[in-house]
Amino acid sequence: MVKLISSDGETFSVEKDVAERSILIKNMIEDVGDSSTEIPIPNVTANVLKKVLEWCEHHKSDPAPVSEDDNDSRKKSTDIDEWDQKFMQVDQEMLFEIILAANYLDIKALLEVGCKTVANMIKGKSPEEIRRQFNIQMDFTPEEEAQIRRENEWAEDR
Amino acid sequence: MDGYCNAAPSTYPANINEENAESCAGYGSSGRTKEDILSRQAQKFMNARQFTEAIRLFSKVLDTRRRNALSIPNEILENRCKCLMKCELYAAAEEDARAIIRNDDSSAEGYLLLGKIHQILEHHREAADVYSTGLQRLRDVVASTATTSTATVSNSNSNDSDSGSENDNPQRSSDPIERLPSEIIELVFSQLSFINRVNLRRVSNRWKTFIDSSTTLWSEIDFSECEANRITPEILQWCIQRSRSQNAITGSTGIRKAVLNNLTTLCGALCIALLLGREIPDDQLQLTDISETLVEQEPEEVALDFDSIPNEDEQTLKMLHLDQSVCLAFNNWNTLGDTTWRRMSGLTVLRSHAAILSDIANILQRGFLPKLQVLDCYYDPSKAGRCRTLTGTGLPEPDDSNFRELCEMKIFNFGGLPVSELGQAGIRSGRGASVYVDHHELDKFISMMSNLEKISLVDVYASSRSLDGIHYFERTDFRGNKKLSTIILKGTWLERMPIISPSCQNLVMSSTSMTPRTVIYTPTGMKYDSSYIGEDRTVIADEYKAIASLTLENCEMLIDSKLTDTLYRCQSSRLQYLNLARCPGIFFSSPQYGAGMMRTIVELCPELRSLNISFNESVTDTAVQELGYLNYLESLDLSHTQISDSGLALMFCRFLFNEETNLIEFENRFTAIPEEVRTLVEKHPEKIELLKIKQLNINSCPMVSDLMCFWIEDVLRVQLDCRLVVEAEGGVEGRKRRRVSE
Repeated sequence: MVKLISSDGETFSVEKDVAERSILIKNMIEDVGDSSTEIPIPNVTANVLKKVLEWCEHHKSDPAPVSEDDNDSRKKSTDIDEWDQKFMQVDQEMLFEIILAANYLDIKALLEVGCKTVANMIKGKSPEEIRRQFNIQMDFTPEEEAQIRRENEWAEDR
Repeated sequence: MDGYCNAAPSTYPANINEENAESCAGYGSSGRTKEDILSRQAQKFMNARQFTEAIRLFSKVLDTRRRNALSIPNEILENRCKCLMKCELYAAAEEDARAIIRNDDSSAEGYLLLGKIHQILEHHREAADVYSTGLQRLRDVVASTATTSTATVSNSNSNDSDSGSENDNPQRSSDPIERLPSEIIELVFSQLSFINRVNLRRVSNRWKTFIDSSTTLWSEIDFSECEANRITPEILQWCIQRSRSQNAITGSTGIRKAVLNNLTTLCGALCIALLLGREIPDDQLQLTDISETLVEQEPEEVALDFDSIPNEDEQTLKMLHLDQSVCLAFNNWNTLGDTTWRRMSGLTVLRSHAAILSDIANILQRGFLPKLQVLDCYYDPSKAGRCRTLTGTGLPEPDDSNFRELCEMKIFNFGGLPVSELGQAGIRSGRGASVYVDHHELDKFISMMSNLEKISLVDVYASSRSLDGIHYFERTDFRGNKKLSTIILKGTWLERMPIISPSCQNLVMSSTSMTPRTVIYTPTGMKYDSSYIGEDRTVIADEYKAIASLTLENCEMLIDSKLTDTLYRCQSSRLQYLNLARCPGIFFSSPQYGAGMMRTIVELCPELRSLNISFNESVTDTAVQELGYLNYLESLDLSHTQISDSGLALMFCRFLFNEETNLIEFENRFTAIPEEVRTLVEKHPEKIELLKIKQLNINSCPMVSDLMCFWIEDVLRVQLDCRLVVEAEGGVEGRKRRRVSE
């Protein structure tokens, strides 16, 4: 068992192989050489860490990711595994926090799922829909907007 | 005061000034507030791209802190460094970057900035050093402390949010670009298609800026999702400009991959291909599916700005493949414009559809593509009907002063896909041929390529000129191509047997009704028995002298006497590979003459390493026993012939016991011989090691017994390829299985 301490001081006790889904934690454990010490996770709050660990628990027996030198064959597919899809049904705030935590903790698969989720929120949507989705202010002047519209005309869906 | 400073990030404060800030600061209760306000103002100037102002304010903050012996915050150093870089004040920027690293030797930002400065100044080695030091340092630190880089990057994207203290602000934006570090946004966007991403420019200023400065996006242009016919050269150029602006210093596009489908004008596509070709690996440039209808514009209408590209003496596009749709869509390649072809002066390999060979020949004649070494003009008859090319090209005659030698050309492949096993048809006068050319034009083009090493004409039909009702027959003469070592004429009809160059080592004349010329013997010497009017009939003595490999497969018109003549004129010590498969006119044995023809071949070609006489009814035991005298034979194809056990046994007997062949009394002992050979071999196992033969194909020989196959395989234990008769695919194993089950 490994003890993780969130930024707001909560302690989580998890199995070693669950915690080691995070490369950061794995490296830490290796460096310390003693898995019984408490590991502080200063950038992640308890509610996010809980969520992340839930994901790690479910994916603890996934095969280790193969080395990623095939950068080019990066799939454009935005397919997400069903469980992950459910898991990602959180508010946007939490979604971003999970992505940031996955990035910080170096959990490639979770980061990918997060990115795909965000990508799916953008994919095939009109600019207006995207603005609504993320509560973004339209800050173009009318001239600017006309200009961009002209530049982008060829790429528009019809 | 606070309200002013927390003004909405999107309104760029164009007229803020330092006095305003200082007056604000004057009312502040502590120096820290003044400093905060100053740096916020500086930040605003920075965001408004007024970099000189920003630098001034940042410097002021830093000076104050230094005077008061306070610590120098990296954040401000970073910002000033960025501004200095924008103003191209690299020396000062480098100072700041170094200061950042001095302050905190695990600052990713510091290493990134310093590395970037080195890169811009083209100190690539230093840049690499900085990056690797940085990486090492970060790796050291990552285990114990949290890296600050993520936080820093996200902060640099947000305008005003005061890092740290405002973390719990409930009014957080949910704009992902604001909330997530840029490398994660790149990850998110990488899931979207090119077109999808381009459309994100319309969301907001922040998104537009992000998309426009994304290096990964503009390095992989992909129009495959676009509606057909909407992409104009201008749009392509716009994309390329975007790509180039990511690399303002080198001016190179940095494009790694481009899928240029659905282009409106071919010319534009080609020009762009050239621009791109400078950067993209060959296999990453797809130029396909170009709409046919829109290509009929005059090329002049497409004016691309080639001048914006830095000039280089060496053009880097090495290989260009113009696929069928491209070639057929545009019918005036020759008039494409000199600039375009000049841009391709580095081209060494050109692959195109056969239909545009006339244009290519003209372009070459005009001196463009001077470095072209390989020209591959293929034609796939399964995709379209016949094709006519090389007609009325207006190429100058070889004695014309304008005649241009293409000294670099090494390989010329022309006609049907060279992968097809046999020529598509081409049997008898090449009627099944699919590419039609003027014989005279073809000859002129071939003679231009004076240093050609390989020529391959597949399914080509060359017709003679007919002027005023008079037929002018031609005879292609390869003697002008002094380095020609491989001549492939597959399914091709050139009216007359061409004169082979004396340097030719590999001659392939398969599926053609052309045959080597018959020689007749007269009191004054040898002569060809036929010629066209005015042609000298004297036999060209050294024509076949260098041939090491001769393929006459599927030559319906080849008869015994012509083959004898040909082999006689080859040099027996050189000829090692002979393929006579599917030649119905060759009688290796006959009731009348016995194994006469086979014996002639063995005598004329004693050095043969490989012989193929498959698919011939006249290959019988009588013929095959003669093969035992070919002492160097390594590969033998006897499939689909009439051989039987005794012929094979006798052949092996001669391979092994050539000098003791007095045991042969062939006629009476058909059945006994395999047994005798078997006993003999068992007595002299050492002889087996002398066996040269490595490959023997006796597939589909109905008269070869199972026992003989097993004997060849098991007893001789050589690496044989014995595939057999009755079971089509079972081979020796199949036979064994069948026998066991019986």
